[in-house]
Amino acid sequence: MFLLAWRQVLLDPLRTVLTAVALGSVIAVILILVGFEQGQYYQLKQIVLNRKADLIVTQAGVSNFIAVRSSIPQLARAEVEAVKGVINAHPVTAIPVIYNRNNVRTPVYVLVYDTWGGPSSIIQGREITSGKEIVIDASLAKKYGINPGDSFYVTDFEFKVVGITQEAAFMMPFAFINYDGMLDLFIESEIAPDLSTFPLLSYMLVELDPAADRQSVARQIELHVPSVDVITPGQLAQNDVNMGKVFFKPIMGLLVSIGYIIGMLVVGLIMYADIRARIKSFAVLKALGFSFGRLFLVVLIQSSLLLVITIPIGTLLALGVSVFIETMSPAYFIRLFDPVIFLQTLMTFFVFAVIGALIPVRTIQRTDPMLAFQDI
Amino acid sequence: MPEPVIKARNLTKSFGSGHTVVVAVDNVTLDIQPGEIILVMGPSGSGKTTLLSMLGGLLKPTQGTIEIDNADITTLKESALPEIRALKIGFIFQAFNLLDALTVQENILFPAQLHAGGINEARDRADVLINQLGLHKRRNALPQTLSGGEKQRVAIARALINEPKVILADEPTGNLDSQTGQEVMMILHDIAHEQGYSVVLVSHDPRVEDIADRILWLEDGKLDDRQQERHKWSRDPVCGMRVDERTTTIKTEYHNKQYFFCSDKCLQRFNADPGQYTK
Amino acid sequence: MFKWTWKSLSSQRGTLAGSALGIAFTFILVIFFDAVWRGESVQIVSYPDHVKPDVWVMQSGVGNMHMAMSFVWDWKADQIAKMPGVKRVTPILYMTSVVSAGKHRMFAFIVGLLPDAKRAGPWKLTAGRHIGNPQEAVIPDVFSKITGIGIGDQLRIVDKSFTVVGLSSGTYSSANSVLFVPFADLEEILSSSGTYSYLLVDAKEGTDPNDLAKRIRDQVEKVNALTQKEFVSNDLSMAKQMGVGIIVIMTAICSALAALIVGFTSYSLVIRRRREIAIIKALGIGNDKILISVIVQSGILTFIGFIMAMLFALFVMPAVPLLLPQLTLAVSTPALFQIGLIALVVAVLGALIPAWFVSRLDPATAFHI
Repeated sequence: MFLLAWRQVLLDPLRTVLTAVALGSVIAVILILVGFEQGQYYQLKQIVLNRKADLIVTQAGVSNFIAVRSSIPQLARAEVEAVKGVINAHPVTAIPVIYNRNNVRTPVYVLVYDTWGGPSSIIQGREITSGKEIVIDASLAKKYGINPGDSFYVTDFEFKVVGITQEAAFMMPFAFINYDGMLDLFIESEIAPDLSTFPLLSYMLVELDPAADRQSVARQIELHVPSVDVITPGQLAQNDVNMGKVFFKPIMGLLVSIGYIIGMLVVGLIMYADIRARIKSFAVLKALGFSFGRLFLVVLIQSSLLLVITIPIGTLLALGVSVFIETMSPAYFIRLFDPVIFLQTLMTFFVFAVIGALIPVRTIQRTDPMLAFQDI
Repeated sequence: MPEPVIKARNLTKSFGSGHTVVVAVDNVTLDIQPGEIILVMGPSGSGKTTLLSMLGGLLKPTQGTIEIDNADITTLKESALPEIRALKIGFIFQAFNLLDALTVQENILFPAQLHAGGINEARDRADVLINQLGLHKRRNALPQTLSGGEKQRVAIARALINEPKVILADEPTGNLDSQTGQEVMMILHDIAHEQGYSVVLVSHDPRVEDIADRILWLEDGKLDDRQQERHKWSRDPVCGMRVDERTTTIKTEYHNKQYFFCSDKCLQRFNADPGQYTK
Repeated sequence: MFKWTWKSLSSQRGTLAGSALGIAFTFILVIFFDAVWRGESVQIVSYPDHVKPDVWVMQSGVGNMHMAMSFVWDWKADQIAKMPGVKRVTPILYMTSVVSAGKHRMFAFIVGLLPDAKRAGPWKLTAGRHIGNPQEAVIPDVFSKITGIGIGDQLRIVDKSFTVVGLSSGTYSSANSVLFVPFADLEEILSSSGTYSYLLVDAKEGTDPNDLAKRIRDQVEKVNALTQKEFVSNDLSMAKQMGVGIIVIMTAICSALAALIVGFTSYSLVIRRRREIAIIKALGIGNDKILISVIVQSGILTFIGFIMAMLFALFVMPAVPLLLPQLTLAVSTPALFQIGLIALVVAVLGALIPAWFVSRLDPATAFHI
């Protein structure tokens, strides 16, 4: 049965190639949609984890990093650093700004850092050394054609781009400046009417003594500094991922479901066309004594073989397209190869595809073996 | 007298119901002995293929019984019939019906997976058949590269691979030229008379009569044993073609003499001017 | 030839239905992707679109609302209120944050309203009432539907608790739901005082909003003033262009997929009828006529798929938000026209392989079995 199924797959190479590319494209569409969703979660996670803190201090009641306002009193830093086990509490401030050039606007998340928490994956240029410098995300650089050495205006304040990093989350590019830059921006530009209205300290990245116990230090900080909450980077990242899921899950879930339906229909169509084309062979096999169960097995094996051939094609296609997407629009990160999600997606596709393959099997069931005597 | 391989009793098959009912096979009783070649002839639509299909367990009779190897297949469930077909019957079709994707050897071995011994045990049998039928040079060829005669030899080998009790062949020479048809007939003759397989043939080819032990005539669903009186040939007075007086329905009488025709066209020409053709 | 093409196609109803459905679903995926993005984009401007002042005033350098921060001194509101042509100035405080209610989280635009500022508040309440007391909130009715959080329930914004007193319609989206809370409470959360985020300026009858916006920009220090149209368009275009790249790429992939399905089906039909095509060739019918029939075949298939997708877009898609209220779908006419154009290209591309096969088919095949 396996031999027949395998040979059937190879019988018409052009048709098999067409089939493989069609099925591969369906797999690619699904993988890209899933990868797009996973990429969003991955970016949301990494943007927190790449700050490399042992613990993260937020404003009391704030449990997210992205797209929220956290404001910690300046004095809290000394109080946190006074807790036993804390080596340093590195300040970080998050300022959402709208970058506007030639009326093309992009929301940018500017992270202000001092000693920790700066850009983690610079691909061009260097880190910041002075207050007038900025490192921006590659997607922003590509969108506006910005290179290291170019000016970058936030409201009316001019920064000089010294580096390009790859850090974006929630489809928002990130930019990095230091505290000198932030104060200059606040004072010289019109970004805020006075400094009191702006959060000067959003988060603290806590560096712990290696011997210190994370949980107990976190409890101690919360006990001694009531205006803050302490969260592990993993938890903070997970909170952002969960928030991202509220946004992406229903949309992407529906789109991926449509993808699976297309997969089911395409496999069903391919197998139906194949069964119709070989209807007489099935009639002959029935006449020769092959039961419906065995013929069903042929279709099952054949569709499985097709899928086994097309999954690598689909994966390669998805890889090619995702590289293209990331090159064209670096703000989108397509995470194809999360092992669990990847396997889960392929398994789900496989199940849908096999269901699709079984839809036309009724045609075989209804095939009269007497057809073997006819000249069709 | 050995026990018949197939015992068919009062077989009737009708299609449709009420005033549209068509009786394709009407109360046919038939025994097929081991090693016997039976040729079923008859005009188109006479029920030959229906009879063959019932004998092969492809079609349930409306009435009557069929015993193959002492098992009544008419009482068996639909799901039990494939096994009977796989092990007791070998089919040969006019259009060969080989599986295009498989080679000669794979086609022959394909039904062996339904045999208790499976494909591995059937390999020796397949080798014997391949050699016997002169297919050893074409063992790995695909059906599309074979000639008609070769295809039919592969089909015969496939029908024999599970060593069935009876071979049912539907117009086995229908798609073959005369020489190749002759070869195939001789193969069928040999497998029946030398190897003891029973063979039931449905054919229009009068040459097949030469190898048949019994010729049955099926017309309007009724069977008639015509072993003793096969044909009575006469000439169509218009075109000169040979016509079997016993089978043709196109005939007329002129001056107290019967004339037989190959077609209505010749009959019309004759009727227009009989004198021209009876000089 | 056309009759033969149509009969060949319609005799294979299963293949026709399967492939037309496959094509339809790939088109639906494109329409859906676009509608989701467009829907979210439209929802991003839902608040400014509904409160509709004539002029928006914000901090200089700011030109929109989505993900923006703006601070305007309170005395500037008074200054603008006294300007000629100004009927009313309604200040709001605004921030983006994550709202938590039990185990549920929602990313939201939070609008802080002064006690008498109903004008900037929810435009349609489906249950409950407007906020009137401290620490009260009006939340989107869809959020209430999804989570079960209703009137009388508690929610938290940063470290402050609020009681839900009203449910508003048209304020939910996955990307930015709009919540209304008292001004003073939001001021506390923001640790700000004496500042507003945006000023909603209504002009007196007969006053040109463009002129008023210009006068405000010229006469009030360090503020930006935009007409309603400009303000909404800035947000809308920003939201849309954020998704342009991925929409274009997904459209391209799905179109290629649709072309492959058409190609596969057309090729399968041609293969199945190769003997007939050979006979037609042997009868002396030219390649050109047969090629046209192959293109017509692809065209019919694509057209049926296209019609199915259109029917889905027009009749089924509007019902999707009833099942999944968190989705906002905006099916646009240009997007449907675009699918029509794509369908044309798909039909031609899908005909290429079968056409190549047909042009190479030997008429002698007619004599083979």
